[in-house]
Amino acid sequence: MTPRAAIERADGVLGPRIEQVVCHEGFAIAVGLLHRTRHDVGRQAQRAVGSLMHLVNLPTRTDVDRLLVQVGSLERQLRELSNRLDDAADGE
Amino acid sequence: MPFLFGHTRRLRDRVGCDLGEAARRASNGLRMLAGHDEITLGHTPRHAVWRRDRVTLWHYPSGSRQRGVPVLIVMSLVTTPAIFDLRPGMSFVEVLQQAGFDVYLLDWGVPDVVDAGNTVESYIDEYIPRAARAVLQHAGTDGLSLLGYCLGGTLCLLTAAGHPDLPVTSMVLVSTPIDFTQMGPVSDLLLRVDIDQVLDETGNVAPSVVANAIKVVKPTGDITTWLNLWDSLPHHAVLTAHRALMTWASGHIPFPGAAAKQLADLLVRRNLLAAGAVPLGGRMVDLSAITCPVLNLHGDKDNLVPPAANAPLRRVLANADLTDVPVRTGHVGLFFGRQATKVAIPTMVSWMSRHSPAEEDE
Repeated sequence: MTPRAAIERADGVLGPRIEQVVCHEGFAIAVGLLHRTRHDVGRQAQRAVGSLMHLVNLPTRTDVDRLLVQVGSLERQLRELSNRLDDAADGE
Repeated sequence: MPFLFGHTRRLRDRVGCDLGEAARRASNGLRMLAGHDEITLGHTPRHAVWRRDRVTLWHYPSGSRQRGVPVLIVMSLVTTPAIFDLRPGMSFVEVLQQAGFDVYLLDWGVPDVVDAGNTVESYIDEYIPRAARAVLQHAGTDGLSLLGYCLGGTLCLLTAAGHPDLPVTSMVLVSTPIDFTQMGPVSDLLLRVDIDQVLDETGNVAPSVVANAIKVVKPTGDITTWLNLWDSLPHHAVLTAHRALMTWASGHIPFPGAAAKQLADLLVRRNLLAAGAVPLGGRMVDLSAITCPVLNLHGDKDNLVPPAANAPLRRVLANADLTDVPVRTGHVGLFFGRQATKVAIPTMVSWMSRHSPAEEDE
């Protein structure tokens, strides 16, 4: 048996079983729970680290992300205004 | 004795052949590892004819335009549109040009923090209709043909239904999902995972999350990919084609967060598209408003958009002249590979030619 045939045979046996697992509702629930837990744990950790960093007046990643979103939102408003001006100039 | 000589000669030839293949495999493999033969996608000459925000409308001029209706290609929001123009000789755009079509391609660019607020309306009420009008103006025609791939097809449908004033003369839908609850593990994940929890710091769904969600559909797909790479190593042309496809397939782009949340709610949790009407932009976008001829091409073996996810199209397009063509292939196989070259692409080109009169006929 060639290496390719062996791998294909293994894939043929294992593949459908793995697909069965990921297609099961339980898999989606597990991934959902995992994401929620990771998100919650990450937030707790960031909060703990953040309060320490704020003690010494240092910005945290959350602060930087918040600023990034605010700058993005401002840039978006600017873009929309600029688009409206362009549309008005085009006579729409 | 002559039998023995013949046997030795065959053995010698076989060893020579195997050694030659091994040498070519080693040489091509080393060249690939060393970063030689860098794969660049998209070789067909094009120029931008319209831009808005991150979106660019590209025009691929046809040397001899014979068709009266230009084609506007709309890609999904999860990958780049490079699949339409991978390499010379492996380009759908090239085939359309050769058939005499004037080709336009809508490129979403790479969304960033500013685009995180893009909603479904941004695409169906702003970008696509404006790009379509830019096409009409640039081509100097009264009508255009829309071609959407995957979620791009869904966006085409919603645009055409929401803007009956747009002169869409025909529409080609390739692997287009309608019933989003039938998309296997992807729909299960969208139902169970809160989109807010998978947004990155820019407010978009990160490309890695998109890639992993697609990987869930075929968990052992990477093994097949590596095996195909191993098989293609001795043949330079096959290797280049394989690498071009892999370069495209791994090039996911961030999915705008606002649109992702809206799609998960409207199309997955409430499954409204399968019912035929979706509330968007303060009105009901009803797919029965589409009356133009529609070609629906879908893969029998498509794991990402299974036939069941596409099936309600016949019901929701109640007033359209629908041609349904199943092809014995998967999601990507409709644009790449043997089934694409032999069945899918010729079917599209011939159907589009029938629905786009030759210029002198007009």
